[in-house]
Amino acid sequence: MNRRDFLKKTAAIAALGTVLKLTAADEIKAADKKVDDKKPEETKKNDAAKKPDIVAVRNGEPAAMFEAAMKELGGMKEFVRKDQTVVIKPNMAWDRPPEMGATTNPDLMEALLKSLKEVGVRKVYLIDTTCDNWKNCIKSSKMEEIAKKYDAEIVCGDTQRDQAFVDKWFLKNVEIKGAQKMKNVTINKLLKECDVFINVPILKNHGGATMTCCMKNMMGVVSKDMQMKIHQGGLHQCIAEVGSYRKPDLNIVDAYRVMTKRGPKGVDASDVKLLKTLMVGKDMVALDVLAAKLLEFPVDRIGHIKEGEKLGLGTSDISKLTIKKVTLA
Amino acid sequence: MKTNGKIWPFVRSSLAGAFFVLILTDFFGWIRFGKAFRLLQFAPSLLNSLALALPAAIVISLIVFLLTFIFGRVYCSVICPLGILQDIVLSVKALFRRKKRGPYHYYDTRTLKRAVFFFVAVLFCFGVATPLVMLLPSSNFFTILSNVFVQGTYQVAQLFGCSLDIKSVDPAPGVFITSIFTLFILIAMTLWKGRLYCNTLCPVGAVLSLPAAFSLFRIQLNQDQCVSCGMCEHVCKAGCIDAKNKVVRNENCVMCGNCLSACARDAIKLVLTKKSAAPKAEQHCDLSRRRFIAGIGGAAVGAGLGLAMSKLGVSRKEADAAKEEPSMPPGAMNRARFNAKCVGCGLCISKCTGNVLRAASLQYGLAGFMQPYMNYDSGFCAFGCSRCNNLCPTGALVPLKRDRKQSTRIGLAHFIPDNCVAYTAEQDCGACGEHCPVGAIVMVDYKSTRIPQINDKLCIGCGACQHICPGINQAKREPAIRVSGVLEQITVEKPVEVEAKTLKSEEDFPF
Repeated sequence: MNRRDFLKKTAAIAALGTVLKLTAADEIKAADKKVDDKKPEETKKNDAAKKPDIVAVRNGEPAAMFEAAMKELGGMKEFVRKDQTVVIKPNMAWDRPPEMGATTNPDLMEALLKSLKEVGVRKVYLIDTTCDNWKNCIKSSKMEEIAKKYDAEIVCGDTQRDQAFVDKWFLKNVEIKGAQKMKNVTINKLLKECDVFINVPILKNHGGATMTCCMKNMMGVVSKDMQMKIHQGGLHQCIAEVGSYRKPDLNIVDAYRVMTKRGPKGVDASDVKLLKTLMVGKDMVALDVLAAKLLEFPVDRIGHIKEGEKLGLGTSDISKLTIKKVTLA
Repeated sequence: MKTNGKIWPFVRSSLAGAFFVLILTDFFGWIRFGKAFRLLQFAPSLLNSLALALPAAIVISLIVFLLTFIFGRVYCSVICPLGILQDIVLSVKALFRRKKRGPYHYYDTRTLKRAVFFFVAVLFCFGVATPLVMLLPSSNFFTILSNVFVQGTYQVAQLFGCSLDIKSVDPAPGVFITSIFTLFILIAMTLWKGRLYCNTLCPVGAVLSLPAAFSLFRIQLNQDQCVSCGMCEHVCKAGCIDAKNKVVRNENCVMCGNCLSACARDAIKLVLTKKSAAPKAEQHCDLSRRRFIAGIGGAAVGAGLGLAMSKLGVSRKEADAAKEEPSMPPGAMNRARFNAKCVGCGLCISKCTGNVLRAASLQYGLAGFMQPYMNYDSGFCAFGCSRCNNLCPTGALVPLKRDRKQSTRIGLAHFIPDNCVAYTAEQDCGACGEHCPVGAIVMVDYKSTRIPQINDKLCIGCGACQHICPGINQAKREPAIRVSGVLEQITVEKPVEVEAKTLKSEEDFPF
């Protein structure tokens, strides 16, 4: 056994352990299901530890980059199986056209939904708690159009769909185990009810949190009131704690058009740069570190990366991970 | 002609019912018929002609005026939604009525009508719209609809936990009570004497009674055939038939046609009055000295009272630039102008995308009661939306192109550091800067975090920052950014483009 093999095995066992520990904390029923789901996947990874942890693709159109990345990871069927329910969390929080780079790229979303359809999933939900009027948001970000095309359901809320409908709508009051500040949250119940959860953030500058990517995107799964509480009670720790409620099974970072300043809403076209990059992986924290490097933000300024690592959401030491870099012609 | 007259009540109620459905369809947005449809309401189109001289408004108000001159106040029983609402109340009442004979009697309302009308008109001319807001039929109908019926449905649905996708207009207690009270008064007046409201309090009724008194087609009693049996008088909900003296007071007649089918002797008919065959003078115009004095006197008392009130300035709260003023919706342009022109129908409130417009209770002072203001606690002005000013039927809000709306200042944001989590607790937040659509809030370094800095030149006062600000107080909402209204809505500078630095990642992976 050489050193590399040893490290890989240790990492795999550690990952398995974390998953078991996390799921054991849930209700027995859910835990059973999760272990069943995860076990074959993890063991498979043990057998053929060839696949990279993170794939970064650049210099292509969103759909082409997505296909290239999924090819490296073994295709969508590695993550989703037939007849499963999938929840996708894109960023569709703003009433801005896709050219402004404020919302997840519609071409990427279309490619994702298409690949899910090819696998033959039962149901796809797109969820977000929007900042502007939700009807306008899903329209301008083109999500409505795409969802209609691929028969996905948009579950979206904003201020107007308020607390009154908790438990009657998609929101649910839950307790996050191990959280300090976000112990009791009103959160989208689909997160725990679904089989696969895919996080599709767009990489942007953020006036408050410095950068918004995988972990910051997870703020859209809680209610509007909660979002305000997050801002009130220590932004970074709360972001990490919300992220720990249900770790995404897959993160797809859209860095095709990135907002380098005046984010996350943006003011005009001068805020947006064409980076033509896409990163896919399971580790939210590592992806956020790579994203910070893309935009040249100091990692230590982005507090939720450290907090997320503390809560076991991933590692910020990217040297531990295999990163496959692909440059399309 | 006999049969034509008899089918009129049927035609009239079918038309009214259809129109009522159309109004509701447009209101709830099932199908939108556009502005011209909303301008069919006489008061808004007349006010719009005066305020903005919108061609469609001028044409439509002239058409309604002409229609009344030809056929009498058909408008009041076919187009006016509040009139139709009264008829609905009356038909419900009729279900519970056993007696065959109609319940109505002739009454003369001219003195009161003139007093009320001149009171309202004089105050309106002096820039106090409140009495008009309270009495205008279209305003009353729409405020009752949204504040009582829609809001009521919303509350009841909430009580039973149904998540109906209804937009709550969330009226302030004063506004809600006023709307309930108006509905109650209206129903009481209707149950008591039919279309009493239309012939006493309604300003539109007062205006239209002028051409109606001289209309070409009108209902008349045949002096020879009529035996003063009173059958027609008892079914006349407008109380305009004096059977004893065989007179029909056409200025009060709303052309419902109930009398036409009530007469056993065909003595009451819709006839084309010719100059030559004009009836006796007293038939349509009672010129006794007492009547004359009462008519003029009523008008004078109303006008005098209005004049006195406007001069005393009882209801007027002078806008004070130093104090925190409420923001007006975009397109209001000027505070005095807006308060004087808005009739408080609340269409903008019920259609507001950002859920920010609310009916004012005393935010503008009494003179702005029921007029819309921006309540940044309930929402914020959606950047890409300019619905309110484009649908405003009266022209109190000037229609703005999207571009112009996006640079029209409706308020100005102020930073209150003591309420800011970043400033007081040194925590990253940035919710305000995040939501600013024009880049007027820049997050600047402060100790280990960043705090907002407001660029007054760019701020349009949409209130997104105030609405989203969590503030430091967990229990109470005390935002660290407050938007105060402006008295004059000006056009602000366009956001400046800031050059972005080049990134290494544009060339290759930086890792």
